[in-house]
Amino acid sequence: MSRERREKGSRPRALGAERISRRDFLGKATGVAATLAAGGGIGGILAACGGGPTVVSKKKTYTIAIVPKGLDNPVFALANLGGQVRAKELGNVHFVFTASSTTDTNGDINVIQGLIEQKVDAIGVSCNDPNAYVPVLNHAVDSGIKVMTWDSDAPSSKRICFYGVDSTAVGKRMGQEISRLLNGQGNIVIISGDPAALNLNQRIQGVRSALPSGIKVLQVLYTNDDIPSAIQKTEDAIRTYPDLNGIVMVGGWALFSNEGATPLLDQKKGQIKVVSFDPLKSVVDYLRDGIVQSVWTQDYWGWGYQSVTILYSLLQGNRWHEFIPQPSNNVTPDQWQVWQQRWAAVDQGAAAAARVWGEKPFTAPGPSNATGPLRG
Amino acid sequence: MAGDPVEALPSARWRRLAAVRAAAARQVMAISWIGVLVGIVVIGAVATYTVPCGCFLTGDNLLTTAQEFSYIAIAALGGAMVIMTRGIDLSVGANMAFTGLISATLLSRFHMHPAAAVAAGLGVGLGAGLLNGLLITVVGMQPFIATLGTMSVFRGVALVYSQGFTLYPPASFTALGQGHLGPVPNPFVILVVLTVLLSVFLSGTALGRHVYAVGGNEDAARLLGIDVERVKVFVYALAGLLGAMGGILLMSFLGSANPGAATGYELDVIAAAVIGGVSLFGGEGTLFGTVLGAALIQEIQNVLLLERVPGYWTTLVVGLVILGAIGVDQLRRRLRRA
Repeated sequence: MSRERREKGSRPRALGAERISRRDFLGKATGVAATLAAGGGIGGILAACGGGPTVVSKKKTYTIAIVPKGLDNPVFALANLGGQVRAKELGNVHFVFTASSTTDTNGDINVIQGLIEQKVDAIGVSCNDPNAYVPVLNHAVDSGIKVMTWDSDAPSSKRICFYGVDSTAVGKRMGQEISRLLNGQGNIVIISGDPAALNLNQRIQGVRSALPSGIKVLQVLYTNDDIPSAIQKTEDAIRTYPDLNGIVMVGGWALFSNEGATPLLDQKKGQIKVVSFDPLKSVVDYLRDGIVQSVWTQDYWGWGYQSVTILYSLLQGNRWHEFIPQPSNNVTPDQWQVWQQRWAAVDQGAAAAARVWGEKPFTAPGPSNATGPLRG
Repeated sequence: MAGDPVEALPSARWRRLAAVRAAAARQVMAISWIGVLVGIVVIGAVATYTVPCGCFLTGDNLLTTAQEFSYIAIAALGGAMVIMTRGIDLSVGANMAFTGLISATLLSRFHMHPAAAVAAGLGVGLGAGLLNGLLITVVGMQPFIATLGTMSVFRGVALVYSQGFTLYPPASFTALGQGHLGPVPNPFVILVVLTVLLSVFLSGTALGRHVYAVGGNEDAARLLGIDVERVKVFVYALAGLLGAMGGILLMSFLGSANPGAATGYELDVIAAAVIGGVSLFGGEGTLFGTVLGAALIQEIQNVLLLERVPGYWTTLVVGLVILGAIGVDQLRRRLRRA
């Protein structure tokens, strides 16, 4: 059925801007929210300039905005906490976390536009589409705002740097992992989300490139980022391919549920090897029970924490490498307790989460594996 | 000379036969869900013989498919009644996410008794539907606009409240959505019971028949002394309650509540009703047809996968089938009128 997200990124900007639809409506509503939030930041600046007794108030307060793809995704919610914690550590940062309510290119562009109008000092964006964001990101740079991308890049824009993974490379490592689990022989299906999502398609490409000739991809299934649809497709795939040996989920939606929702997958425990993405809280059970053998991580905390670090440093006049690689690790079943503790900490709030997810802030010009020219 | 009776005999028989056939055809064509039923049977028959795994017509496959469309079908029962009054409810997907989140919160954060948490979620859904009904009748908003607004309000409250995080109800609560009555999944049992009860309500009670009357011709209904506003408020409130049932069952099945859950389901609900023969112009259609409509959409997705069709095609085929079903419906109406 026609889910909202299905079209993301495939629509030309101008057409999208003219069409009045629910997404515009929501986007504008969120844009207003962003405006209000940023306005609060400016109020904060004025208050600080008024001269209080604290040390912080003597420094300029920067407003740094982090824009994820959408607000309804738990991995981005963690970026929000990370950003909040880093802003508090720095002291003179007013942190704004805003985007369209659900993953939506046009809505996010409206939100960024609202941030530019409010003259925030720096913006970090996760882009749904490498091209659609170019005009608005360039507009932000031309307006004197420090702009970086994280998680998902827009390389042809004037943004200063990108903090994220190379999706093709991670896909390749996922492909190597399933090959290792299957000893280089067998049939697999690949389960993805939105058929138009660049990062997912790059992960698929990576997986395919790493597979030896003994492993055959029977089908690629698209779930449109909908959990019930992902469950249905996973279970149906097991039913339709009795000779299935492995499943590679380049997006782990089917596991963002309770184990009981995937009875066939549970039954095939050990017989079907599963490599997935994003160890959310519900995925921990699948790892513990050995239904899933490998789950690849992203730096959810750092998307907020390190992005605020980098943007703040850029505002101080430091220069950074253009490409700052984000770690992506393989979580194996024996690590399930570590991840259970991590998610339990998140439930207790930002301070507890900071203790468990704790990362050291990067320093300019970036970690040793950063590449590309120095920019600022 | 002898030619007359000889010729008249086959002609009369033909005419009688034709009349009988036409009467039968009219009767069949009067059934609003006939097109979708034919679709389900034909696709099912083709799939039974052509699916490579030979697993279409197995209890396991059919029951899982039934489970998967139950959430949307339960919400669609309410959506169909709204459409029968010539209204629309765009807020039902947001309602499903919102009420699921409320119940999950009460369970996981406040450790409330499951029955109480479900009742509270249903109450919130009922209230949400009531709000739609009052905006439309008392404030006088267009249903499309009113529910477009509340869609964002419900989704927005869910987002603000959850801060984008997913909430997990206790594992024991999944028994509701994941459990079975014999071999039949609970959500499907609930769907069947609700469909029967509400169908009886629609055709067997005065208020139920008023739903059709209001949608068929609002002015005439008013002249007949029907309290049109009361009927509308009732129907939107009921739709809110049914949306909440779908949402809570979905949450229980998934074992997780996400503010982004059920995004776009309002369109699936409308599609199910329309495919099942509910007219967007009001006054016509059945709940049974609506359930068949939801079943057809799910069946197509299931069969395409079992047929090993590349994933890119699913959306296109579902769209074509929706158009096909509506085409059959148009043909049916024309034949009935003829």
